[in-house]
Amino acid sequence: MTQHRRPATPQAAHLKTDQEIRAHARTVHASAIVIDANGELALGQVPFDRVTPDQSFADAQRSGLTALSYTAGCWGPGALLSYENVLADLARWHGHLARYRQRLRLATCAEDIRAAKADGRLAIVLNVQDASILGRDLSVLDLLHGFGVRQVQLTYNTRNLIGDGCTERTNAGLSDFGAAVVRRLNELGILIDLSHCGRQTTLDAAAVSTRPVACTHTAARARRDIPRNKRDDELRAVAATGGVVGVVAVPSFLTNKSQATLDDVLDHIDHIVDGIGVEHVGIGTDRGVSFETATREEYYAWLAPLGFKPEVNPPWPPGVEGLACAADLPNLTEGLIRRGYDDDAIRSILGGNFLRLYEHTIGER
Amino acid sequence: MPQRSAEDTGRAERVHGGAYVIDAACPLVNPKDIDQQLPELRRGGVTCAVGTVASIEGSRETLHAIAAWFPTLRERCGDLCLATTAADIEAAKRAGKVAVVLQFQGGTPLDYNANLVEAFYRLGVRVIQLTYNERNPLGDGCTERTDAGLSDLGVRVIAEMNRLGVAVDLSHVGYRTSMEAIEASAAPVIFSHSNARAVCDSARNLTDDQMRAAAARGGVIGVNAFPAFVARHQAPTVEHLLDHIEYMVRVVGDDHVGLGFDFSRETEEDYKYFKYKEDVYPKPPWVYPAGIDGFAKIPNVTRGLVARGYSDDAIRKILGGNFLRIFRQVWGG
Repeated sequence: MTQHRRPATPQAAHLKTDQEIRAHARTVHASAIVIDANGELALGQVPFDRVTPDQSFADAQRSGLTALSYTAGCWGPGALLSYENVLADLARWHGHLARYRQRLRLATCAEDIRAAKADGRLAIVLNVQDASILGRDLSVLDLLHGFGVRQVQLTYNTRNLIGDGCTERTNAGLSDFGAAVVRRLNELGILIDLSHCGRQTTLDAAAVSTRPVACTHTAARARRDIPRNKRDDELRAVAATGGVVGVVAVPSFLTNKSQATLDDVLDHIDHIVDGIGVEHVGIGTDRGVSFETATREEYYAWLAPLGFKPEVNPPWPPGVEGLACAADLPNLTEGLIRRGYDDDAIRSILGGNFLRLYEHTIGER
Repeated sequence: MPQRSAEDTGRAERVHGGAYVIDAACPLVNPKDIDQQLPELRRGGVTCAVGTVASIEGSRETLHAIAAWFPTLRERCGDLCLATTAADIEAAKRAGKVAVVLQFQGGTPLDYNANLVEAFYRLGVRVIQLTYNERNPLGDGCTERTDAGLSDLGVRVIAEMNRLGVAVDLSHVGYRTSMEAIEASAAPVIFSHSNARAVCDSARNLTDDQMRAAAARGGVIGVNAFPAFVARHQAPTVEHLLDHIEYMVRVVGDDHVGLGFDFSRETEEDYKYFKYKEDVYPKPPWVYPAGIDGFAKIPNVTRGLVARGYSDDAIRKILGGNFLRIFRQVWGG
């Protein structure tokens, strides 16, 4: 599959100085549709959040983001598993979208993301990261769709009625109900996210889905062997649907070194590009737009009930050097240039691929 | 039916009257149907009915289903009592009452929270079946397309059940989940209402190795009267049900066999609600086997066991002695 590989002759070769590279990076970044397929904009929902809305919007500006997908309901009692939290958070975000309409717009189709790029706003794709809130009732998906949710992850880390999460002791495939959920998500036009799913559930969902699927925020297990990362066969299965794999900026998913750097992110991107082709790779930082200001205690208190196990629990501090939050994304563009990616490839990784995926799943308009 | 001598009939009546008769799976024993079922339970000589309060419902609905029992038990305290210990069942026998045990036929009332085992234990629940046919957060049911094992949560829930003294019930549970649960449980387990697959091939029935694994740890299997699990290609009768008992006794011995008739009555709507698969569950109405189509007919099982040459002691164990033993062991008292 050599056509997928990075160009043998780095196009950056003609860029002589660091200054030239940085200037070129700024141009490419500014021209790109940049999508964080799993991000967070702090607007008071995080209990330990010390970032003001003004700071959030300034950081969003700095990030160059066109769109980010926000996870509804991951703050509060019962966390991701709670139907009440998800609905309350969706309601809160519709309030934000109205209050900050100069800054934000809801994205329920690909055209909304292009329009956001044109008018300088940040498009918000609402997602839910644990479909266990459906119970055994498919019609909850219609409700979520009605609330603007366009991205649903089938499982979080643990088992639900649909499939197994990646930290489960078992490796169950998609259940009968899970297959029905996938079909309904296809019908409704909601992107299926398999990031936290176990291996067999990931493979089954990719096989059952009639539309492309995504792992919005993961990394390559061949480079870092933890349950949250995807094996090469899972990456291939996602790509075979026409899907996209978003690479995280979570230090512990990237390396076992005490300090992860931008190079680690780039190493995972390279691995996945080499494996499944540049048209199937994107970004899903799993970080805030602004750098998280939680204390160590606050951070672990939040993680504890989410089914993370010690080998996956992100270490402290939570930031990758050079890509500690989405506001640092221009550094990624510069890094991709230095690794020899051409402008088209960079733009596809930064957001072009996820934009195409949204066209094929949530729809063009 | 075989001819019976007057001597056999007298012996059957005597044994049945003196025995603890425990039906380990009673969907019809619920606050709504109890007035209709009570005379049937009386005629059948039932000492203890394990009543289903939930199968696939969440914590909230289950809480209401349990709460509905409390006024019912209060108003019928001359006929019924709640059993949370083996001594309660013995006391019910002495007082001529029917002891009611609260049972889940699936772990969904726990939501995703193992702490709810203790909450429901405090409300009186003493039997929890891990799954009901389909997948739930604890494991796979026996009609699920997959055969996943016990989840991490399933392991934690069993540890809680063991700590508190709640019986682990593995009827309706998928093969791998059941085998892993037998392994994980420190206490013996029950299959409250499951037949032998070798006698009637159904996803709801047990393979020999499931029966042996449960029996090896001191478990008990309740024979089921649900028609499609008794016989597949002909109208089932009490003789087919006795064939299951006989087969199980041959495979695991008479210390490990009991009764769990699963008498129920469901509508087309119920059928949809439970998402039954038609190859396992024919559409209702369900016609229970001739000779064992309700609680009142349970003495026919005793008669049949006498006719088939079982000793008084073996019959008493099968009618309820084995379940009483395991309940004492698991619940205490």
